[in-house]
Amino acid sequence: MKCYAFHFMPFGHLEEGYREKYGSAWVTYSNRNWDPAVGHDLYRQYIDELVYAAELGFDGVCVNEHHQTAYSMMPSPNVIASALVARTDTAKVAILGNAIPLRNDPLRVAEEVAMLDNMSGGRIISGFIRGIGAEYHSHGINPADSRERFWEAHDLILKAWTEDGPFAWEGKYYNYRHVNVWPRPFQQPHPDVWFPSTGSPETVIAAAERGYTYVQVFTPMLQTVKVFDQYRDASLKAGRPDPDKRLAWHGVVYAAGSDAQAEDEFWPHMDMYFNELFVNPIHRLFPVNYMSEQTLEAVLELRGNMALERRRFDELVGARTAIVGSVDTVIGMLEEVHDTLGFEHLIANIHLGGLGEDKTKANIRHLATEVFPKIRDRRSARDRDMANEA
Amino acid sequence: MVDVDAEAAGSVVVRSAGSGPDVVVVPGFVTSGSTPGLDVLASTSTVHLVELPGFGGEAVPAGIRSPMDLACAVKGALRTRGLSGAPVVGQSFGGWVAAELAAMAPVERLVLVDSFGLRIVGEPRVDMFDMPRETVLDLVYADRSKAPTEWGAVAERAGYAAVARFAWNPYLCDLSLPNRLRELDVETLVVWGADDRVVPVSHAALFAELIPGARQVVIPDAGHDPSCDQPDAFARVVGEFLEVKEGVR
Repeated sequence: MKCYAFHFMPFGHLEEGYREKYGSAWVTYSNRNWDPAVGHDLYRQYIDELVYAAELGFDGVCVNEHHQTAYSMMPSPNVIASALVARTDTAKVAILGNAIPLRNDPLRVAEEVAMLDNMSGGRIISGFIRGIGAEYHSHGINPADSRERFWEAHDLILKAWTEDGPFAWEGKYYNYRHVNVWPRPFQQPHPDVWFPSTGSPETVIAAAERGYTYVQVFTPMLQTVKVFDQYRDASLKAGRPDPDKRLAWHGVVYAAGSDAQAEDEFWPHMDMYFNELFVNPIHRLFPVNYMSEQTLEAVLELRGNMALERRRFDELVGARTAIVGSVDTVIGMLEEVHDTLGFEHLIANIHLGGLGEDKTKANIRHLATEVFPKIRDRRSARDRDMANEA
Repeated sequence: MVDVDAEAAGSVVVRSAGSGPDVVVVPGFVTSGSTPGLDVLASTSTVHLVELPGFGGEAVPAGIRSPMDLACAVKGALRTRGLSGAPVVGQSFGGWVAAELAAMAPVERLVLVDSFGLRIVGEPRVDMFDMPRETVLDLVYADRSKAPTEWGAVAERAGYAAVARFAWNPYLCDLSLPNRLRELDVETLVVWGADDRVVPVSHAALFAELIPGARQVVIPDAGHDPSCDQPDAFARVVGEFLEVKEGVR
């Protein structure tokens, strides 16, 4: 198993009454609330935290992309990845991922990721995402075009990385007379491509068929079982063996001296993440045509109105979306998740909300020195069963 | 390989009602069905109500990417029905399509009702795509009880999703439309609800200014859809202009 540290890098200082005034911390939450002194210090803190995780032996560090929101200070994940590349030696730097449909010039993504791959000597993992609904309001990109833009940009970037240029690209959304990206990637034929998602079958199957690693983001364990099985089936159907090697689980992981201490220290920040920073009204999370209106109805029926439900500690931990407790509790829960799901990549969010640097680093230390050494070499129950059957 | 949809015209649905001279109506996004104002109009004319591709809930054909493409499909559909050149009334998003149609194929007369298509730089507008779906009809109708549908079922708001496809950004407009409006050679009436909160009445004057010889009529106590808010006034104004009012033609 490989273990990664993920950071959302929030600006966790929300204006009093922001929900009534702006509806959420996204799109229209005014940037007059940006404080450069605080922001500067947070960037230093957050980058230090990921570098610390790499120093203590995490296999990789992960960043992602969100726009015009206090939820994240990483509108360009590649900029943060560049800082991480410069300060780490052997850890992978995973960009999970670039929201390629939001770019009007996907060759910029091909160039930036290829630069990072060369600068790091081949340590880049290149995730691609559509971007969440709110970002289609922020960037003026038509959500109706989102899927087609994603795939056309994906195909273009992969071709730009792997085929000799120059060549012409004649597409629906992107057109180039001369595609000839310098530099080409360090890794051959290209950096590993990962697809992070909340479980849309289209994305799961597409990742499986292409042999891409699939990352299930912040989802109850039992729902994830179905998604991972779908990935396995589609992989085997496509003639790609060992699908478990390309499955990644992404959740919140926080360890402290005792269960009670962990909950006391971390719940205020989980609460800020799940009940404040992440919250979006339905029309922001699912703008018209981001998915079909029929699909949206089915999703809302299945998941309830996420905008209204307040998330609770026992519910989030019970579902194993968050794993919080003493070192032993965390080890036990991670073993359970690993046995139930069977995956190769464990992606742990080591910080949420406004968690301070001392506590974040203590969490990283617990995970790197006490938790991961116990579970890193284990085989999942699923893996053992399969070996026995064979 | 040419990458357009030759079947687009076949995906346009036209429903005809009433008797008398032909009037083609391209409705807005709230419903592809009739409205009280159109019912009154159908008492003295044959109303051919156009349902644009995608507005009935089926997928928009891949080759249709703009209101101009829609107008092209409507042009073909009208030709196969012997309605080329008939007077056209376009409401809301349908007004934008009707204006594009008139620019590519001469029509006898053109009526633009609370039409999308233009932008007045610096004039603030509510973003009807950035609000809860259930509140959009409150924006459209001066009196929501006059709305012809409650969008209770998903299929009923197909037009809203379709409009978002064509008008997300730039918002509800095409920056090159003024060029085509200036060259229109069609007798045109611009009709507007005085209290339109989707496309403010300032746009009526702009359409009338751009289209040579166009006249404008503003209907009081009406929002974005005067054919529902003020059905009789709407039918009278439009009927008189098209000369399909009783005893006129």
